[in-house]
Amino acid sequence: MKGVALWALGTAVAFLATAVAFLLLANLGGTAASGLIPQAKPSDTQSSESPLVLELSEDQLEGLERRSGQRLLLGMENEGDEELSSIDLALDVTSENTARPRTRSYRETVDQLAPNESTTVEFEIDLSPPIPPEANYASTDSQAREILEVKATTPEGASAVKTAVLVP
Amino acid sequence: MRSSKSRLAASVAAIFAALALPVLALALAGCGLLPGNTREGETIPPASAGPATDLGLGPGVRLLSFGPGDKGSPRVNPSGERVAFVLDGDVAKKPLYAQSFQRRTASEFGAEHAEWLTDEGLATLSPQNETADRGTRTMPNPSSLFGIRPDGSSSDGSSDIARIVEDVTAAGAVPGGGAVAAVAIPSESSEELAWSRLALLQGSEEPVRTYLRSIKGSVTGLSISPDGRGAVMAVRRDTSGTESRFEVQTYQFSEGSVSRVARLPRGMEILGAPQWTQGGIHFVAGEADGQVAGDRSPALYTLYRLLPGSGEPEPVRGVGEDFVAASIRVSPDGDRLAVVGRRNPGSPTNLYVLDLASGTLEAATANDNMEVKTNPLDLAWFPDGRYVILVARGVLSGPKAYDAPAQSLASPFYNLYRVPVTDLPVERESEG
Repeated sequence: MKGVALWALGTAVAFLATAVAFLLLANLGGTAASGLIPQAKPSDTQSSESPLVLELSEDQLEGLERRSGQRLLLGMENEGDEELSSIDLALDVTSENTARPRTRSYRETVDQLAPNESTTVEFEIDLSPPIPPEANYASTDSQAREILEVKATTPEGASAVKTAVLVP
Repeated sequence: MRSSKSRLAASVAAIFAALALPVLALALAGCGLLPGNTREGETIPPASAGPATDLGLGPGVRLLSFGPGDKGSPRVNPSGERVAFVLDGDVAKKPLYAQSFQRRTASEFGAEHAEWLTDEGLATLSPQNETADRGTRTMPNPSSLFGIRPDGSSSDGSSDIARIVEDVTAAGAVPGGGAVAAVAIPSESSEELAWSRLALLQGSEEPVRTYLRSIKGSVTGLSISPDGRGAVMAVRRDTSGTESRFEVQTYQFSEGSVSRVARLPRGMEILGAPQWTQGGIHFVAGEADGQVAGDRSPALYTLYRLLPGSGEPEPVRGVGEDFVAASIRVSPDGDRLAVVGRRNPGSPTNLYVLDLASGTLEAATANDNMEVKTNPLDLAWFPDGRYVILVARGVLSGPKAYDAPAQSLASPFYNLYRVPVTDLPVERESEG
């Protein structure tokens, strides 16, 4: 009788151990897959964890025209306690029309920014409208809003983002 | 001996329970039934999940999409789990509350609107590049109806799309989704004697059922009744010389018969598709000359009702004398009508729900500086009748800067909003 009980116990332990192993593998796989989908962030403000702060004046944005050679000044401040170096600035100018985004990219680098120091970076950007498309979908292109998205990153991991939306 | 056996049995049971409980916990976690589910981060949080934030359309409204792009024609699938929409001319679909979406057509497909089919495939209309050689005076620009199979096998999804019907002038679906009717102009039709044929599509891979009884005139708007037995159409008929008049016609699928149920006065036109409700046929109409070419301003449009057998449309009194209607959509059970419009020409555009049994109008949104799309295609019910989806964006008088990436912004771009439409306070005619 004791042998039967031990045999049953051993079988149950083996079965459960196998089940646990499979479940762990399945959970690990699920976590990796779900990480591919960006997290929803409905707020229009970023977290204040980063010491980098970007500033785009709406008055300045108001003066931008839909043509090439537009001067855009980006304000940047280090609100942290440590110096930031090699700050990479990537500015993408895109159309709201996702079928025809016409991305124009610009890059600048700021060598260093001391704590509580601010600086201004100048971009010369092209906001000229695109050549009229021939494809099917063009009805709302002229009404599409223009997007200026600036991302600032440092090798230390500090980052900031600022997005400006221009109306036609 | 007996107590030894009991102790052994108890020990086995205790070990089994100790091992089984973690397994059960892991299994539940895998199914997403325990807190801390990693999938939570993928979804768009409900408005009630965080601090009470007004999205510009009043309380209880929930976002269903984010980011740039001109979105329109939202449609919830018959099981209420997914939403399809047109994004800058492409057909996209996604789980209702997921942020990421899947494009189902090749880039710049030119889709105008999309509808769900019974097999979870989609039907979509895209304009034809070639112009029909039958004159252009009364013929709307033709489109092609495409079927999109439920599961794509290729990376861009293009091989899952098949052209089903050509020369389509109007298409519409049953309110809860699942069947799509399209009206096409046969090649034998001419400018002088325009006529159309109706085709019914239920599955993306099922054969199209074409009805032989012709429809006289050019169909400009079409919808299927909530019971799926017939279609109601806005039809433009030539009269004399250069003039045309709008009619409301119905098509009974079982009999294959078409009937004219109303003829509008000269100079009036129907906007969008009439809706077949439990309270008669409803449609939006107004003076055709009252708008600038190319500008679909709804300033002069009124909501009309056509009672069975009357033949004479009458303005719907429940909405108020000054109400300016833009688009309507009947609920899946046919007893309510979603109406996008304005209480009076000076008030903001809002979503209203008209209870057809009582004739009362209830405001579902409280627009605060939002630009609500008024195209009749940009309005959809959930299959359970609890929510309506509309498309809106924030009004920007000038450039605006945000501390977030464009992909996570909602208000600057046209996005989908879920609006609750049950238990609404009844609005008095003097309000707004």
